[in-house]
Formats: sequence, C-alpha cells, structure tokens
Amino acid sequence: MSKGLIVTDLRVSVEGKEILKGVSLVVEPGKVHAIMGPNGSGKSTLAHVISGRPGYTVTGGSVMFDGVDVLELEPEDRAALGIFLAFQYPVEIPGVTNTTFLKTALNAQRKARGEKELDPMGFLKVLREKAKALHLPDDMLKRPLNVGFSGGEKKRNEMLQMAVLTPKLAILDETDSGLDIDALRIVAEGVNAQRSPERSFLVITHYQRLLDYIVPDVVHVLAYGRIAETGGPDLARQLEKTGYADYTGSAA
Amino acid sequence: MTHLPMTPLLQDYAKISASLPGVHDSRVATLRAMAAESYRTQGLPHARVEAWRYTRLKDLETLPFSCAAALSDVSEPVEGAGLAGAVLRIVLVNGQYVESLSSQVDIPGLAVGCLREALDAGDDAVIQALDGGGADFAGAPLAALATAYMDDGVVVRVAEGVSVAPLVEVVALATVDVMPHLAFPRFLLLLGAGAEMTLVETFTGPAKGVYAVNAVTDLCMGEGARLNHYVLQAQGAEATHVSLGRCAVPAKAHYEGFVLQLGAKTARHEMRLKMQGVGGEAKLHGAYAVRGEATCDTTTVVDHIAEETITDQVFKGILDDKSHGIYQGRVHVHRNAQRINGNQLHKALLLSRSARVDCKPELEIYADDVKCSHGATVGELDDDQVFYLQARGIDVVTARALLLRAFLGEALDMISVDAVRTAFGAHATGWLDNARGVTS
Ligand SMILES: Nc1ncnc2c1ncn2[C@@H]1O[C@H](COP(=O)(O)OP(=O)(O)OP(=O)(O)O)[C@@H](O)[C@H]1O
Ligand SMILES: [Mg+2]
Repeated sequence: MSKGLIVTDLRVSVEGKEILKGVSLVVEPGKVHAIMGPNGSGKSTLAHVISGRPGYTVTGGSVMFDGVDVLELEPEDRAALGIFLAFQYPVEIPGVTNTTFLKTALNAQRKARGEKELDPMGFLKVLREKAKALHLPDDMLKRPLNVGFSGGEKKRNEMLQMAVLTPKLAILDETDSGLDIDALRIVAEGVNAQRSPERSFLVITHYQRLLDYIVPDVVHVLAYGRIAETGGPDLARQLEKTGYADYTGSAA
Repeated sequence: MTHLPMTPLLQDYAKISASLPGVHDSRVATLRAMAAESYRTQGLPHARVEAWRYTRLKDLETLPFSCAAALSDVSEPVEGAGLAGAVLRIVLVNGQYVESLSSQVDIPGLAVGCLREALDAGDDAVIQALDGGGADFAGAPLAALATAYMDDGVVVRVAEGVSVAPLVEVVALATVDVMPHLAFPRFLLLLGAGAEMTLVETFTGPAKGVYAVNAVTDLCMGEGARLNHYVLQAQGAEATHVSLGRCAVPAKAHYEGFVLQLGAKTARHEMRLKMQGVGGEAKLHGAYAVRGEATCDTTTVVDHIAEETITDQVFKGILDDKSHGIYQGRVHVHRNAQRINGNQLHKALLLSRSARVDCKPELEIYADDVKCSHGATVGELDDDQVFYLQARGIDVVTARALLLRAFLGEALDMISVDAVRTAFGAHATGWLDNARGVTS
C-alpha cells in the first residue's frame, strides 16, 4: 500500500456548482507541497473535503491516505489517522477551554489508535512547552477556545494544536494570513521543527514570504478547480511577479 | 360565575380540612378559606390565564389525583442533589417532614422545625410569613390549592447575623402510590437580618410512575441578609411538577438564585422576587434541558419596588425531540423605583425540528430613570463548531455533548458556591449523557 496522500481526479460540487473539476495530487511522506491559486479557486474546498467537512458532494475521484480511502471515514476518524487541518477561519467555541479541548482531542485520537490516555500532569507540561515555543501566553490555554483571540492568535493556536496532536499530514489553509512578520517567522519555525521523514504538509498560501521560511518541495497552482501547473519553489517566486493572469477558466 | 375545578381536587376538601393543622387559629383558618375559594374561582390554569399561557397541567386535569396525605416508608438514606462537603439535609417525603431521614441540627442560631407544629402552636412569625405575607393567589391557583391543603412542611429559622456554614439542603422526595398522588411540600425560611446561608431545594422522585408535586417556598430575608437559593428539579419522567418560590429582598440584602430543571413530564417553576428595600440585589439564573414530549416552564416575576435595586437574569435551555420549553420573565418597575437595573437574557438551543420554545419577556416600567434590558435567542448547534471538534478527533456524539455542556455551562458557571456548581453540573452532564445516541 502507498504511504502519503493520493488525490485522484477529485470532483466536488457545492449546492450543484462544480468547484473541483478533477484534482490529482500525490504528497509523499516527508514532503512539503504548497498550493497557491486565485481566490475562489477551490483551495479551501480541497482542504475541507480531505478532512471531511460536511456540505460538499464528491461527484468523482478518490482521496487515499496511507492506503485508506478517507472519503469513507468520519472527520474524527481521519484525524485519528493523522490528518490535520489548520483552518483558514478557526472557530470560536465558548465554554470549552483551550486546554480541555486539546486534552479531549488528543485522548480521543490516542484512544482511537489504541494508545493509552496521557496522564493529565504530563499533558499539561507538554502543552506549556509547546505554547511557549509559539510565544502563546499561558493564560490563552485557560481561555475558551479561540474566543476573543485576535486573528493572529487564532492562527498560532492552530499551530499549537498541530504541535500537540503531531499529525502525519498537516494541511495549513492560509495559516500565514493575518500573521505579523514576527509571528510568521515563529509559525514557520514551528512547522520546520515538525518536518520529518514521516510527516507531510500541504501548505495553502497566497504569499511567497511564507515559502521563504518553509521551503516547499513542490508548488501547485490551483486555478478554476484544476491543478493548472506544478513545479518547484521557483514557481512560487515566478507567480509573485506574473500573478495568475496566465491561468484561465478554459481547460488547459 | 365560578369556574369549577376541572378535577376532583378539592372535592374531599370539607372532609379533610377539619383535620388540617391550625384549625383553631382564626388567621390560619381565614387564609385557608381564602385559598380554597381562590382555587375554586380560578380552577386549574388554562390558556386564557396569561401567566399560564403555554403550560397545561394535563395530568392534573384528567387523572384522579388524591390530595390526601400519604406517608410512604422510605428507609434508604436520601441522597438529594449529591452535594459534596458539609450538608445539613432536611427531608420531606410527599410533603411531610421526616425527622428520622433528616440531619441532626446542632448549629447555634439555626432552628429547623415542622410546619404542622408551628401552625398548631399559632406561631406568629410563621403565620405572618405564609404566602409571602399576603394571600395573593392571583395567577397562582396551584399555590392557592397548596395553602388550602397546607398540612406539613419545614420551617427553618436563622437568627440575626448568623452565618450558616454547612449547605442546607431541603429534599422534597415523592413516592409513587397505587393512586396518583399529589403532594404539597412546603418550605419556609426566616432568615434574620445580616444572616447568611446557602439553601438547596432538591425535588426528586421515582423515575417511573405517575405522581404530582405542588410545592410552595417562602423565603423571608432580613435587612442585609445574604441568601444563595438553588433549586434542582429532577423529577421522574411521568411526574407533574409545579413549584412557586417567593422572596422579598429588603434593603442591602443579596439574593443569588439558580434553578436547574431536568425532569418531569410537565414542569413549571415560578420564582417571584420583590425588590423592596433600597440597595437590594438579586441574581436569578437557571438552566433547563427537556426531551421526549415533556414540557418545562420557567417563569420569573420580578418587582422593583424600591430605588437602586438590581436584578440580573440569565436562563439557558436545551430542547430535544418533541419537547416544549417556556421561559416567561416579567419585570415590573414600580413608579418610585428610580435608578434600578434589571437585566434579562434567555437563550435556547433546539436539537430537533419538532421541539418548540416559547419565550415571553414582559417589561412594565413606571419609573423614568431605569436601566432595563432583555435579550432572547433561539438557535441550533453550530455545525461549524461540531466539525471543528471532529476535525481534531473528537467523535460527533462527544463533540455535541461538549458543546451542549458548554452552552449550559455559561449559566451554571454563575453559581457561586463550588459544591453546588459541581453537583448541578454533574446533573446536567448526566442528562446529556442520557442523550448520547438519541440525538444526532
Ligand atoms: N457552502 C458554499 N456555498 C456556495 N458556494 C461555495 C460554498 N463553499 C464554497 N463555495 C464556492 O466555492 C468556490 C471555492 O471556494 P474556496 O473557499 O475553496 O476557495 P479558495 O480557493 O479557498 O479561496 P480563498 O483564496 O479566497 O480562500 C468559491 O467560488 C466559493 O464561493
Ligand atoms: Mg480558502
């Protein structure tokens, strides 16, 4: 069985409108792929469908992860398999503290994988260390999940969750937007620290700047629901100059 | 023209009334007669009674309830709300004070007595405090019925300036009889000036079987007193529960109330607060959760009578299946009640398309320098929130339970006494756990 993420000819519609028109993509373990592309081209849609968000109709194609057909799985089972989505717009959840949430999530995943629950003290220690590395103050761990967090704090909190949950595939949906220059560097360092031969990343971004820090192995351009071009890190730099004018809605 | 009661209630009254306590005290006799007359006139609540617009007591209308005093044998210790720490527990079974099941009282300045004895002895303080110190049964036919049948109950007195350390829990336990039984638990608190206590009223009964409870609680606070008053309604699934609480908040006194309703087939809890002393403050919060075809009604009536009084209300409810939730909040600001603050918020979450919620705020303001607010929302669980939790590995059932618990938690967190917040929280969680697999 093949390791990593294999998306084959994926077709997705929302409310009768076709958004993804046959997307194919292979992300091998240990690799970092970047996805760029104009607004509304379907980048978040792809991320959501891989992680199992309801509301999308898959009309064709497949998504396999480590040999498992993930489209058959509930979102929580995909998470337990090691798929993580850092949301473009993290959700606020009043009444559930960041710490409780992360502990519940981590233990749920461990349980699903047949691993032992973490002891609470050990968990808190790990959590504090990782929060510190991301320059997140301790009091944000006690606050309700994302409630009243600034845009940048929410994004860094997504990175904290990634650091704690140690997924095998992390999809970062515009994690860089809304981050100040220092936060961008901190987040990138956090991602780089997690790069390993087993872990792959799908980094959705509009900006070359992030890719200066997190140097991708492969860059894709997603335009009008299709992968319009695939290349190396140079492709991102080139796009910075030319924009997406070369990619039109008509099939290539 | 009089409405005859639609049930046999009061039919055996003439026979029973002669043996009720306090017959020889003209004040008690007069009160009873007025109460009986008031019930005869009003009958059981119907849709045309504004205060009872949404809640019908169908079982009381149709089933042959008996009001005769019944004392069943209860031998196991009564657990109540499951409060941790020092608790002074007072147990009423079917409205009758049972000393053998209750804690021994050995606290200076605190006295627990039986209402029947107080009535027979012609206790002035008790008799004056009955029914909020007046025989006002308008809109409260069930309270009138309870006074007509007033038999036993508990009287707690706290002397001036005394701060009662343990929690005082009054457990009103109901049992199931061969005949459907209507019990009248009655509780009276005389809290001296400057005294402080935490009172928990726990209403509970068998999970199965038809019974009804019609409770009346009168709380008399002295100036500067502080009272925490928490009510847990955890009746069985076939029960009818009606309760009325009344509290007059005098000058500089502080009242904190919380009502958690989780049980019964038909439940109606009404709390009336009279803010009658300058500088009095009251918080009255609550939560409810209801499923099946049950009805759960929470009604509050707040009167701002004195200047510079503050009230704050937050209620949250969860409704599943074909249940019906009701929140009625009436705030009446009297002409001289200047510079008062009265806030009210009700939030409901519907888990099913067949569930229904009615929210009726009523603001009547006759003073000109006041701050009053009212807010109400009805929503559903947020799919984005559920997905966010699922995307982190939390299964959908747990995710929903977590969100629901958090929703109720916003209200429950306002209980300032740790042991009560914990115990009530556990009851709420228990209700949600029962929902697992049922809702999704
Ligand atoms: N629930 C929905 N209902 C209707 N249209 C939708 C829905 N979700 C997505 N779309 C549409 O699908 C298209 C792709 O959206 P998507 O969010 O995937 O774009 P994106 O590439 O992530 O854009 P951006 O760079 O702005 O984040 C857009 O035209 C969007 O309006
Ligand atoms: Mg997007």
